[in-house]
Amino acid sequence: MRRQPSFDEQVYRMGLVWPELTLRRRVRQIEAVWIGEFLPSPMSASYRVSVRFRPQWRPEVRVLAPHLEIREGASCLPHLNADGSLCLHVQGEWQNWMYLADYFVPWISSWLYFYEVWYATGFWVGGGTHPDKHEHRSE
Amino acid sequence: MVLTTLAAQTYQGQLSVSEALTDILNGIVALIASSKPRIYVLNPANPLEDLSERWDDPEQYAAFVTGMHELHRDWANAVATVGVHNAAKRLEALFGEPVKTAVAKQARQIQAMREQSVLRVAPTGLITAAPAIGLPIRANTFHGMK
Repeated sequence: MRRQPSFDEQVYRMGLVWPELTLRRRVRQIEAVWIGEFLPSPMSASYRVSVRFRPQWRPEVRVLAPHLEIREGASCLPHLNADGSLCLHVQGEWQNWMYLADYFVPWISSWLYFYEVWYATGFWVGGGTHPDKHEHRSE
Repeated sequence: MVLTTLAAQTYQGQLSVSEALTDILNGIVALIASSKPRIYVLNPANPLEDLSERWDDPEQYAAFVTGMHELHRDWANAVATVGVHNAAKRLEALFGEPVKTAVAKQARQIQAMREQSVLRVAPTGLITAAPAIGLPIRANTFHGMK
């Protein structure tokens, strides 16, 4: 069984790998929140996101700005959780031994890029669950 | 023929299509400003032939000038737009449906690379296939509500 990084190790690794993300909130060994900008492609908008980490919970990422818009003809954004955070993985893909910085954070860029493509074309090209849902169709 | 000849005259060997179109449009607009009463586009194979003789008609020339200024402005706006989705909307207004197809095609290529686990992400969040930059993007399955 792999060793689970400590809370401090997770926070340290985030600072090392993602210097553009600023640690904005830390509650002892319970919670850490980073905020920073993501530019997924040279043509993309720059997105301000927050990443919230609490051991034993799935990490949470939200887009703070610009406001994510629902394209015409769709009734919601694709691949979001009910609370509005991005749904980047299925159960089991994120595990406690993983470093947030190495596994979870890179998925944010993919989601943002495929969101822009979805808004432009109506197709979610990045794969995922519920492919029959109108907002998730790929062609 | 007139437009391609004009474009060829202003093309400076730019490597990207976007850069080439920007410079060609800048060049044509500058040429319009400096050519009075009108631009003359001569046949490169026969300089005695004026390919643009229809522009002797002031109405036709005015339509060309207006069209060029509009294209120059719309292209500059599209290039300056941030966001693939926003830029695509502007480009679609200029070039039509093929823009949507091109955006989806490029995204499918990126998705194919993602499935092969060859993509990486730079500290700015930029997705790249360059092997020495940033971190690998590990396999994931986007989820969310049904």
